[in-house]
Amino acid sequence: MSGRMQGGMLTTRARASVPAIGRWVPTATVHLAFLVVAAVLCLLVLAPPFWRAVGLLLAVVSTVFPNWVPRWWLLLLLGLSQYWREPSVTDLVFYLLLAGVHLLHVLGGLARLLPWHGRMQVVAFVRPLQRFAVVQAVAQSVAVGALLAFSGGRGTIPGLSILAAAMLGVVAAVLNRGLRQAELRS
Amino acid sequence: MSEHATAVDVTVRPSWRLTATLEVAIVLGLVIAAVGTLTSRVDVVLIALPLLASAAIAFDRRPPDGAPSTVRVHVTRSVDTDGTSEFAYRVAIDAPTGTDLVHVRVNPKGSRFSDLILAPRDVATVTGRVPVVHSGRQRVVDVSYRLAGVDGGWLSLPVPRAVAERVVEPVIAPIASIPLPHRLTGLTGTHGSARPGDGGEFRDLHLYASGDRLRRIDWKATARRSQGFGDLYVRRTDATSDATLMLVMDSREDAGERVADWSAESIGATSVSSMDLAREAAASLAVAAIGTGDRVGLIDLATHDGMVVAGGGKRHLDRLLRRIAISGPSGIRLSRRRAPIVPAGSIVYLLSTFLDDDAPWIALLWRAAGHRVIAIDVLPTPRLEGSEQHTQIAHRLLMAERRRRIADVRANGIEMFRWQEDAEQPSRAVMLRTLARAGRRRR
Repeated sequence: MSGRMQGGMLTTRARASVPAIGRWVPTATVHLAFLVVAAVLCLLVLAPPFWRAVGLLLAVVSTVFPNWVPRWWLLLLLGLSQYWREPSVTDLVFYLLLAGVHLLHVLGGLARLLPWHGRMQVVAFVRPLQRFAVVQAVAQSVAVGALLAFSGGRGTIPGLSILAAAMLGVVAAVLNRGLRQAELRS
Repeated sequence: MSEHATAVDVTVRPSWRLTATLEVAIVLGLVIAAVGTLTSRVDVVLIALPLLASAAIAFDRRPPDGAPSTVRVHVTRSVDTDGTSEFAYRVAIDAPTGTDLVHVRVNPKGSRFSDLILAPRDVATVTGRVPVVHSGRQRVVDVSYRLAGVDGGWLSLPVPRAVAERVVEPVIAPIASIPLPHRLTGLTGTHGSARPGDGGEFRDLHLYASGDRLRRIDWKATARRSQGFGDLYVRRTDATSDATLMLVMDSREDAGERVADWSAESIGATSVSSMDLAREAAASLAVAAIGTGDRVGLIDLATHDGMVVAGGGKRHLDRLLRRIAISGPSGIRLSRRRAPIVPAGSIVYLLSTFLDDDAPWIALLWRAAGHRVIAIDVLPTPRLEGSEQHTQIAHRLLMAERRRRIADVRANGIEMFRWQEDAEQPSRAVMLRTLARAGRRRR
């Protein structure tokens, strides 16, 4: 709708159009996605009732106040929850936790920047999700290999774990270089 | 139909800072990896893998400090055949490498700001339209933004706002009759004068006197009327003169239709304001007067440097229209101790809301000095919806004072009419014609 001034009189009540950015989703989607992923992970991996309640509470607080510390406590709680689980190559929940913690990190990083009332281009999700997919593809493969190599994940010598940690560094460096080259090519 | 476009370019070199997201990802990754290592649990160590990998990628893709980022705001104005007009704006942001997201805050005139998250592929763009509601200088859109690196690990410091402004020319209303001064001045012009002289309409036949031009002798009239030898009759004509109009704008305040907005910082985006009406009235009078060969000057009561000396011609009209178009509310109190000096014999058009005593006081001084003064009330018809009760009471008191002020002004011989057309008075054209006739006595 547009305005018309004629003889000093406004004949059409008018407002500015909503800025167009192409296909978009509300930024609240990111906050809600964080809450959903966090809640699902809490239900999957945390022991009821106490730790599950603590996890869900932290998830809600982290969603409402994305800049507050509880978000980091939630990630730590979920990450360390694996310690109380029996390691197994065939444990699907472990792989979900591996992906979930990473996804929470990505969504949490976005949520800290995004206001609740805003709009986000759909295409803006592409880069973060692309990186997430590549990192997960490598991380999940390494996880399967490592769990097989260390017979279910419970190493008897601490040196094996140190070796695994060193492997993480190498993987990170390789990933880093590969992604950078891919981005340069694109 | 589209007018010429304007563009605003702002280039900055944003500084980047590390955010807690990246720092905590590293700390969390190390803590989880350490716990897994100390407890000989590879599966726990593996949980840290994506966190550390993400942190490593984010560190590696740190956007370079000092890399330029440019925001370009492009504004065009289009006017449709039905008279509607709007601005179309396009905001393009060029982000440096390593930028993952662009958080733009777009604040179009007359609308709430929008927070937009864009992908920096090629150039992030936002488009929108803003209706043209007011005349004068106005902000079309202002844009501020910040850039975010990989996974929000890096964040640029706030970038200064880019503000796109445009000046909208007021509507020119056609004016058929324009009130003139009681006494015209000058020896040339388009108006008949009361003095005998060259160039005007037939005045009378008069006996030849010393100084009359020979070519003015009317031989037929001499033959008819001559009483004795040597009597000669000459045809006398009225002299022509021009008029000087001084447009006086009281641009100290800008009051809109909605009374609830009067104490707000800006006029409502969807209502006509007193400055809109003042600009329209001033521009219309200037066009009409200069079109008939008169001289027009402009005084802005709010400023001491806003005066345009009276003059005529196309270039002068352009200068006047430009000055009128950029006039805006200043919000300052009147600091004049005397009425501004206006040319002798000129007519003064005072455009004011008459919400205080300052402008009427100056008008009375001009009237006392013998100038014909026409006060044009540019306060739009107030609308009280949305006003609280105390605002309505205050408005009633203000209007009562204003009515008293206007009555005083009229009682002192200042003619007055409202510019905005409404049912309370005859149409503007009728009022102007009536005032023009009232002043058309022998000049």
